Amino acid sequence: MSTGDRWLDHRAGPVVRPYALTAGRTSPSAGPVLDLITLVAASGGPPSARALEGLAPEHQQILRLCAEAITLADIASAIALPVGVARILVGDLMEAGLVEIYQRAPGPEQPSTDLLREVLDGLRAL
Amino acid sequence: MAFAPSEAAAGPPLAVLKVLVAGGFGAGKTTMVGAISEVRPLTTEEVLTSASVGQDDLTGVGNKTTTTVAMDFGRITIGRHLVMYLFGTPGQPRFRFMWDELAYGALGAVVLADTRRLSDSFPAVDYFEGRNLPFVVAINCFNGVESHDPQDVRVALDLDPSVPALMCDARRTDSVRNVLVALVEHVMTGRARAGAGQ
Repeated sequence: MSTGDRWLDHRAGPVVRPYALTAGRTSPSAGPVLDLITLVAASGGPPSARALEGLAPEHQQILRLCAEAITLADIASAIALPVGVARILVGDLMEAGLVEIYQRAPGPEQPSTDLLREVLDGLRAL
Repeated sequence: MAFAPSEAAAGPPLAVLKVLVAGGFGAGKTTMVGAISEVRPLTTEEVLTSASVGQDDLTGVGNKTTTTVAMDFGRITIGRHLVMYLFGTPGQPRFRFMWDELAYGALGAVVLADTRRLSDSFPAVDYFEGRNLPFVVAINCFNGVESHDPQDVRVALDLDPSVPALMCDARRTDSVRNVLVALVEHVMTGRARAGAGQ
């Protein structure tokens, strides 16, 4: 094997740039689909040292952000990683029971008329 | 940014709404989002097979392809517990794979039209019509002069009579607010009509 090939053998793992953080996974392993405006929050009190052990720095960063309910879009922006990567990392934390969906964002079912009226009043008052 | 208790009245938002701001390159999407909220950058580096919420049509996509797209978004806190997110959406058809994810669960959309390049608005108009996502057309008048009659733009874009088209100055908060008000009113009107069984 020539020197130039050395970094690309099977031991190099997947050669996918930002997805290196997710060990090459391109979608969350399981669980509900996280939309850009899905709110997530830390499940309980401050995570134990044991829970933090083995977590990548990015995971820990997200966990800290989740101390308050926060959307996936805000997380991705705060950690300056693509949305797809942030979604997988949040999925990891959900799987570990450290983070949960705070409240499902409005899906195909749309917000109520009362809520829209409130939005309208709020916008007019801006 | 987290939803700190000090930001709204107390506690996290009860409802989060999503509005898309679509338009061609240079139409003023970032300006519009920035006029009414703090703009923050967001990137997507998507493998096409995971690009949307399990609903994109992958027919013909033989090999996985990654695409990096930078976009902007902003957040408006409305009242006590309502938060509206605005997502600036690349308007070119080649970014269509992102639109499904962006449109998922969205309240509606603003198509920001630049009268110098009106055809740039066609893909967005087509897309939102096809998805039955309520939208308004905001005609950006950069110099503050109403050089075009909204009626002409309406004809040029072949808009359904029910779709609002209004002039706006994407730099001005009050103007952008009026566009969003028009959108929410349009959503409510559409719903009332659907409720009346038409």
